[in-house]
Amino acid sequence: MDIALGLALGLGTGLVGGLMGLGGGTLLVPALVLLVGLDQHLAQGVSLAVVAITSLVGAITHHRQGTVRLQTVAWVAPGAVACGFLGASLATGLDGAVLSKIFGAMLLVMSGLLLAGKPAE
Amino acid sequence: MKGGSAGSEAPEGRRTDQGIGRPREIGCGVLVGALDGLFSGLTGVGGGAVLVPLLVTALKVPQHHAHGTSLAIIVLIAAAGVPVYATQGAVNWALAAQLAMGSMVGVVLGAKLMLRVPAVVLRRGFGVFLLLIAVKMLAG
Repeated sequence: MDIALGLALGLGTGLVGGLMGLGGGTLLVPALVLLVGLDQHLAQGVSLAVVAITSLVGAITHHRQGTVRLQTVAWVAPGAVACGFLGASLATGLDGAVLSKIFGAMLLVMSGLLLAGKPAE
Repeated sequence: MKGGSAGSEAPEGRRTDQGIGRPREIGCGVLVGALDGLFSGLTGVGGGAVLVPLLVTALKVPQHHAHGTSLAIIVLIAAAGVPVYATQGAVNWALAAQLAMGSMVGVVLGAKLMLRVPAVVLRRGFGVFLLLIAVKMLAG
């Protein structure tokens, strides 16, 4: 892949990631599959490595500006990490097309949640 | 886990306003984490797409804090997931490094930009963003 494209793709996903509180994988996985032509599994692996680094830098920035609730992190993270292992192990046994559909369906439900209710400040 | 520090003026065990503290909220937090982790591991994303909506709806975290808190949780999920993919040879490190160089700059800019965006715009914008990706993935 072209270096300029890689940097631009990274900058774009990072910007949206920091703004939206995402690691950037939601953008990066489709971009790597559709733009770069990686296969779904490799795209997910590369994406997760980038997400780990991006989110670390992003979390530090957010913590400094006071927009991280450490107590919430403490209660949510352990279950997330444990089930993350489970999910990653399950993913290797699933077909790429099925993974894409799970991904799409889950995001559809989440967008409904956000578009329906009103935000708290 | 939140025993008062020696110099603290707050009475021991007093519930702080920050985050979740009651058993029901803690249970909810663990469930949200489990659901998010499963999705994250399955799809190779950090889980923020699921985490932010669940933080603001199920756990009632204010919008701006949800986005920052989400990133802090993602760090841990992604760090745990990478070795799983790496042992299967599903990580191209050179490509990842190249992408990360751009994303590290972007994420700092994005976080600072977020402070200037009203909560309702953040929430609706995020909803539309997820909807677009969902349609793309389901149609593709």
